[in-house]
Amino acid sequence: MMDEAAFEALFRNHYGRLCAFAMTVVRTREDAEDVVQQVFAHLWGIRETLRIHTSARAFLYRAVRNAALNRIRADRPMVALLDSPSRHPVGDPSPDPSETVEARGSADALNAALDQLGAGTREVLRLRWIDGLTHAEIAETLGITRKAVESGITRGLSALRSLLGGAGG
Amino acid sequence: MNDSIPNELIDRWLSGEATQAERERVDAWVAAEPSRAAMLAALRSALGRDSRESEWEVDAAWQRVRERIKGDTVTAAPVRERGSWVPALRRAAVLAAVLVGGLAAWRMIGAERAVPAGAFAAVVTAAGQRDTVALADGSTAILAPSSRLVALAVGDTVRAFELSGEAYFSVEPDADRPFRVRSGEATTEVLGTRFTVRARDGAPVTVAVRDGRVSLSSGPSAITLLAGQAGSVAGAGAPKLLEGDSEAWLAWLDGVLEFDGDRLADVVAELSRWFGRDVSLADPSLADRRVTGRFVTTTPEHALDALSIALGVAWSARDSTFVIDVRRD
Repeated sequence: MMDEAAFEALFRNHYGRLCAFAMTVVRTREDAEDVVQQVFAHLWGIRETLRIHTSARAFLYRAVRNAALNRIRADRPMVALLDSPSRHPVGDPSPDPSETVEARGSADALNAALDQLGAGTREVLRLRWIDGLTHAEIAETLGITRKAVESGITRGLSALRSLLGGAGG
Repeated sequence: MNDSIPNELIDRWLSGEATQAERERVDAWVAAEPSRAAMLAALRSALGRDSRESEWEVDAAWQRVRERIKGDTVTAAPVRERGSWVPALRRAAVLAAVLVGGLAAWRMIGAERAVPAGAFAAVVTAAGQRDTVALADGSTAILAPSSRLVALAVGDTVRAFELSGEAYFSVEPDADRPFRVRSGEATTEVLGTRFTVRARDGAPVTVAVRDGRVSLSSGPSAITLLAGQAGSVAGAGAPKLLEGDSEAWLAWLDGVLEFDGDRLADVVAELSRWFGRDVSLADPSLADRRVTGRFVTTTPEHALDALSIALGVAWSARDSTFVIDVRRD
């Protein structure tokens, strides 16, 4: 049974990461924060009946993902989701001094490789390599099998490996 | 050496699961070829690492969530008669205490009362009945059924009470006026905190702390309990720290009864107190059966159904009482 202290700890532990995750779906920071706050408010409302049998983290990611998708469906129903790297706004719009010609070349090659892998795999890789979820948590978050998660990670690693191995020289 | 990094290790390194030694190994591999670092940075950026956690204002966000849940809960809580076993009202009361604190919240619920420090003498709850007392200093006590709270001395230098039964205290901080609860030989003393005291029928007095710190003493010996800890005093013995989490002792606030290897006779006594309905055992051999479980105490029928499944016993209602018997089928 969750009391407010446990609830607040859960919120504080996950808020930033969940907002960043929501940003891969919605367009603005305000929307991302609103989505995550809405999820937590809802979670508090249902805490009496809620039983999380697996991972609280997977539960939160899934809830935020669903809420974020609902949010953009309400805005723009026909947009293809998650597959366009240009839809990820960067927090600081000023150019990063480390962004050299080489870095842009890397980014182009990498985006091309990720585009080849498809939107679903990209989402798996994001949850794995940015959010650090386990295979089981990713499967639960996305509602896919563990086998599909593992296959996506393997394909992502192969693509990444060819870029890392082939770069420079 | 550079080419000996397995894919699986890169995966663990990226996901943050790598050990220190593994991290150093991959770091060295990345550093050996500058384009690798650029590629990995591009990867993170492409996958949407566009905000560091510190960029989100979690304090402000938490305040907004609190506003939302506070509004939701208080307006959603039905106002009912106080005094009877009404889970929704009790939950609303607890929640308001947790979220808001102070007297205003109690008035909002509409069924509570404020007792001036000088006037408050004693509050008694019958079986199946509970009560919430808001004290003038801002502290509150939630009494479980079959409990009695007596004000011994509430003045400028001390706030002292005597409890038999069970109660949850949410104490307003006041460094100049310690808040003391005496139960048998055990004395619980705090400055400002939330905790529960259970003092029933010759069983050890148990104190469980939700937050803050509490001093539990008996005669000359005392121990300090921190948030999440529970301690007990048996008879006139010295206080002891209990194993395990304090939350099980606080479960009754959430309308949950928890048992961990308790005798069925004790469980039956507890159910009688909670529901204000007599529950008895038809066969004395049942008394020593052990019960472990967690009941959401909506109705006595519910709890008895759960017991009958867990123990393979039967129950029946006779007049206004319940009888548990061995199953004869």
